[in-house]
Amino acid sequence: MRTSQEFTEAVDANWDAVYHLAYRLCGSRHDAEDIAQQTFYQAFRAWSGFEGRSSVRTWLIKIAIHASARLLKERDRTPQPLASAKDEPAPGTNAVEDRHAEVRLALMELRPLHRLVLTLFCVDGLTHGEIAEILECPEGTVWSRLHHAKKALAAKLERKEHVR
Amino acid sequence: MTDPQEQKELAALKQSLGAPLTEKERALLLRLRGTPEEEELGARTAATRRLLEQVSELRPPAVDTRGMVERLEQRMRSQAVEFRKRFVPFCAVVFGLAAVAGAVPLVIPHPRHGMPEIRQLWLLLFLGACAICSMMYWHNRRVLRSDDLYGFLMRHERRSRRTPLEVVGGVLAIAVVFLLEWSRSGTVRAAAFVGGLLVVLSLAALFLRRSLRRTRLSQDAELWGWWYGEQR
Repeated sequence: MRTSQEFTEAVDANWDAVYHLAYRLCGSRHDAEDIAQQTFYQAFRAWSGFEGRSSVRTWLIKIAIHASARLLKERDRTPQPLASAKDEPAPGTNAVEDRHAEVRLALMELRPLHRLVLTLFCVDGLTHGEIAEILECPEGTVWSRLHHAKKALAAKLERKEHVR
Repeated sequence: MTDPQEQKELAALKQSLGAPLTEKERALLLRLRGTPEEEELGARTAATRRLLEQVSELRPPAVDTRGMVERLEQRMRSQAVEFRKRFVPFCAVVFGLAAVAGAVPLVIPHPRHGMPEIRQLWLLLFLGACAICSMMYWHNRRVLRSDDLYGFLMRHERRSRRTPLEVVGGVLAIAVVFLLEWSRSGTVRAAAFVGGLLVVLSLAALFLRRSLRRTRLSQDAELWGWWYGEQR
C-alpha cells in the first residue's frame, strides 16, 4: 500500500516536470497550473491502487497528457484564441534569445502530436523507451514520430526565416 | 516507414544520439560510408541535433512551485468539504421539515397506547439526521485543519470504502432481531420495515460504488485518438 508520505515526495519531485509539460502543450500558465492540479488530484485518488508497473514519473506524465487533451478538446469546442506563447518572456536582444523565441513560437504552432513528442523528448528528457511506454506504442514508432515532428518544426522555422 | 531517405536520416539521427541501431540501419549506414551522401547526411543530422538542442534549451518562465502545490492542497480540501457542504443543507432541509411535521404529535404520547410507530420512525430519522450532520461537521473541521492532508484523505478514502459494508452488516443484524420480534409479537409493520431496509441497502450500495469509482483512473481511449487525429 502506497503511503501519503510517498505521495508528498512524488508531488515535490514531479510537479515541475508535469507543469512544464502542460505549459508546452497548452501554452498558458493558467491552463498549465490547472492541468498540473488535475493530474495530481487524479493521481492522489488513484494512489493507493498504483501498482508501480511504470515509474511514478511516467505514470504522472500520462495522466497529464490525458488532462491536456481534455482541456485542448474543450478549447476546440469553445472558440478561444489559438494557444500562443503569450506568457513567455518577451524576445531578448541577443541572437540566442531571439532564436529561442522563434523556436518556442514554432513549437506552439505544430500539431499537438508533434508538439507532444518533441516536448517529451527534448524538454522532459525522457528516453525513447519511456516515451513509447507513455504513448503506448513501439519504440520504432516513437523514432518515426520524432523524425516527422522535427521535420515539421524545421519547416515552420524555415518559413519564418523566409518571411523575415 | 517506406521512404528510403527517411530511413537514412532516422538511422543517422539514432546513431548521433547514441541509440541502438537495428541490423538494417547498421547495414544502411555502412553502405553510405565514404560517399558524398554520407557527408550530406552528416550535415543534416548535425542541423537536426542543433534544432533538438534548441528545443531542449527552452525554459518556461519562472514559477512559484510551492504556491501552486499549496493551491492544489487548498483545492483538495475544498473538494473534500464541498460534497458535505451540499449534503448537509440537503439533510437539514429534508429532515428539518420532517422534524417540524412530526414534532407536534411526537411529543404527545397517547395516554393508553404510548407512542405510535410512525412517530418512533420520525424520531429515529431526526436523530439520524442530527448524527449525520454532526459527523459531517467534525469531518469538515478535520479536513480544513489537518496538517497531514494527504494522509487524512487517504485514511478517509479507505474508511469510506469500508463503512458502507459495515453499515449493511449492521443493518442486516438489526433486521434479524426485528424480524424475530415481528414474527413473535407483530409490532413492527412489515411494509415500513422492508422499505426502510431497502433504502439503507441502496444508499450503502450507492456510496460503495461511488467510492470505488473514485479510485480508478479513467482510461479514455478517445483522448489518445484526439492526439493522433488532431490536424492543425
